Amino acid sequence: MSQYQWPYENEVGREEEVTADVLVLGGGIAGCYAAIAAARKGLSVALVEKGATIRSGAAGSGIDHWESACTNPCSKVTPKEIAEAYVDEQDHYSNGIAHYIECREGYDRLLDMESFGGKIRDTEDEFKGAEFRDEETKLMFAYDYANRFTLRVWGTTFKPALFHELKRLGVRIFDRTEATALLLSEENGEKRGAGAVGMNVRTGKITVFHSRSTILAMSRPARIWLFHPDLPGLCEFRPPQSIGSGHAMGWRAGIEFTMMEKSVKGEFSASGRSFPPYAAGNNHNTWYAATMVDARGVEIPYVDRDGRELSGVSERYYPAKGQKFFLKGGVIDNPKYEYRGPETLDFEELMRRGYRLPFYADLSRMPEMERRVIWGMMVGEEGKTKIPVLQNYTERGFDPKLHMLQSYGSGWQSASFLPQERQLFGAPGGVMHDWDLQTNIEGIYAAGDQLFASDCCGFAAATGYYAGRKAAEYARKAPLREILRENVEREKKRLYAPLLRKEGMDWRELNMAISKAMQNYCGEVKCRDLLLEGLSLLKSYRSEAVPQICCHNPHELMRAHEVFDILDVSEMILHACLLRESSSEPLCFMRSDFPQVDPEEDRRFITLRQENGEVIKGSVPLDYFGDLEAEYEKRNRDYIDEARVRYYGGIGTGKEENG
Amino acid sequence: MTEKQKECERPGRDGGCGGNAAAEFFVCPVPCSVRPIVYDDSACIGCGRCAEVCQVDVLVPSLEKGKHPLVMFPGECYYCGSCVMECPVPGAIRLVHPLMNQAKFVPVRREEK
Repeated sequence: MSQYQWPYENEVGREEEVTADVLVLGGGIAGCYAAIAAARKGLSVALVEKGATIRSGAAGSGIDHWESACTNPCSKVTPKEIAEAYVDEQDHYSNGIAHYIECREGYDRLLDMESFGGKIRDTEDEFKGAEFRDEETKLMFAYDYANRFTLRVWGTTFKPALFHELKRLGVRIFDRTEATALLLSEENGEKRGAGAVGMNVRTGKITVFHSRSTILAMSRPARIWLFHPDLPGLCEFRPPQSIGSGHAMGWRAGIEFTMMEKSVKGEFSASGRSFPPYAAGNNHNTWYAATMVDARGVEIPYVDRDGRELSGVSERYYPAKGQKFFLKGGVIDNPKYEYRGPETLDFEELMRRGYRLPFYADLSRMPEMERRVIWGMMVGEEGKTKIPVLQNYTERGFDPKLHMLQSYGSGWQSASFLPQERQLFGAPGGVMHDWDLQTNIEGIYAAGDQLFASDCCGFAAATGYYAGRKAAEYARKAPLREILRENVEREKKRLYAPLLRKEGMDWRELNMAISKAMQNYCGEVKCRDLLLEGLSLLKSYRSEAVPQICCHNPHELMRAHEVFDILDVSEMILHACLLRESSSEPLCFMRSDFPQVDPEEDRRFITLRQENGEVIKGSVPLDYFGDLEAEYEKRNRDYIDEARVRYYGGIGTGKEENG
Repeated sequence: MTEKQKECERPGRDGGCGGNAAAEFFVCPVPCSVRPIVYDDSACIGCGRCAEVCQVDVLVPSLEKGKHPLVMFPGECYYCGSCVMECPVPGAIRLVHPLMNQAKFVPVRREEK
């Protein structure tokens, strides 16, 4: 096999220490907003990102719509209404705190984005006169045109705009630096955040970050059940380096998690059973509400929640008679009657009526504005669509006025997965937190996809900024705590170990083995014996396979540590599954040994954390966050006053305007 | 980047936890079934901006000045297109989904129910 010289410097063994008031781990949407919030408070901020902050994270290459911007001037709903609807829709296995923050502050973050240079309204009048556009503000709406709380946005501009704002504010950005471990101080048996260790993924240099407060803003876990050694970059919906290292280091440090027993049948894995998101014909999310036709070219009817067939395209964007608003978006799959919006007729009913596969999205039948906003704006501004879908399909000859794009399977994912091929999707588990988004370890906060039951870009931005604010308030009063040298040395030894082997196992082999184990022992239907067998197998991988992994350069070392993190998270998931001794519909959780579904005594958040190698179980009431509006307002008087002046011309908060 | 045609063998390292800063790193390209990113040598100016924005770090700079980066880890590509969006020369870099992921489209058909 040919071998190339590594083009970057070898800095293995070199170490740098960085001190900051606030340390942000992860440079996606949540991390960037967290850093901006803390920097605006005048504190010194360091941001650690494994990739390149200018394009990193799930929204790195774009985002096409922003949900729950309830305080925008055209909104007809209040933050309280929508946040409470989300909680109810998810049977209270929902992150009420984070959803309320999203609904209350999400639009503020969009106004911030606009001030940084991101595009949030149709300033060029490309869609002048469209039904989904407000002529005065030039804001454009998706889904519910009557209530106007989801905005269509030009998200390809977002990450570069955030990056330049971070630089302007003097945030120290550590790109190509993988956060690997939290550093804790222990005083009188009380653990507190003291910083983190980072490793450069091109040179191997170690950076020890010393901070007063720390924010976990990395991704949710991935590649647990799904792995493809030839195309690891296409295994999951989110970027391949976003595999849940924040969850893993949190688990190792003793942070408390919840809902980790929840997983859903795969929805996206373009290395095999699905097409890349938004790249095939469908009528959801980015493509809502495209006209769908069957193999003959017969149009598929849309129906409202009462089964009434809708006529014309416009009706697809309005609530049913007697319904105030409907919910659509990232985590809304098959909503309750109360929140259900217009949808194409149920697949089984279509088959009964003689509709024929395959189906297609046929934008040629839509009014020009609706066609152009789907193909050209939404497909274009959504991540991973501008080049690989809009540009490439256009080059292949696709013209939305002349062609229809095929849909695969019967759902919007254009996919057909097996029940054991699972993913953390649809509001999965994550870090348990209080109203400050602080974890169980003082001085460590969490935001975005690291929180339990997270969903979209607006959620990431709003919780990121909020965590940044709270972590900054904490850092003002907190001292720099002592970092024990032995902890740093232990971490360095762990990090470099795979570089020291002359030969051994490739990281892909271990990832493949873990994924197979999770499919076998933690598939659709779980039971105690299988879960224990899974834990035993993963333990053997830890003792036998991990010490064999061999890396030739820092890039491979990064991948190896990702798989070690996947191993940690897989163990956490198996433990979480063991702890819930009943089945649950909202958690998509089935136990053959505990078939009772959602018994009253188990309708609670089950939490888990590690302490001295033991798994500690906890239990928290589902509505532990209390009345969302009252609790929020109690804790955020300063922000409410500041926002009134900064974003609403001093005339009240968005809530009061709309309420 | 210079290619060294020799057997892939790990350079020696010391046994300490600090590693050996003097040792050279090497990289052996992993065979992959697809070519996500293709450069046009005649158009590329070798500015390296594509490699700098790639969040997955699948591209590594060429050691030859002015040459395009090498697609060292093609299987890890996430097909986001950020490299193409960043490129100052249209057509110098192309990103295409694997063949199996290129959805089919057909001319519109109209039949009433």
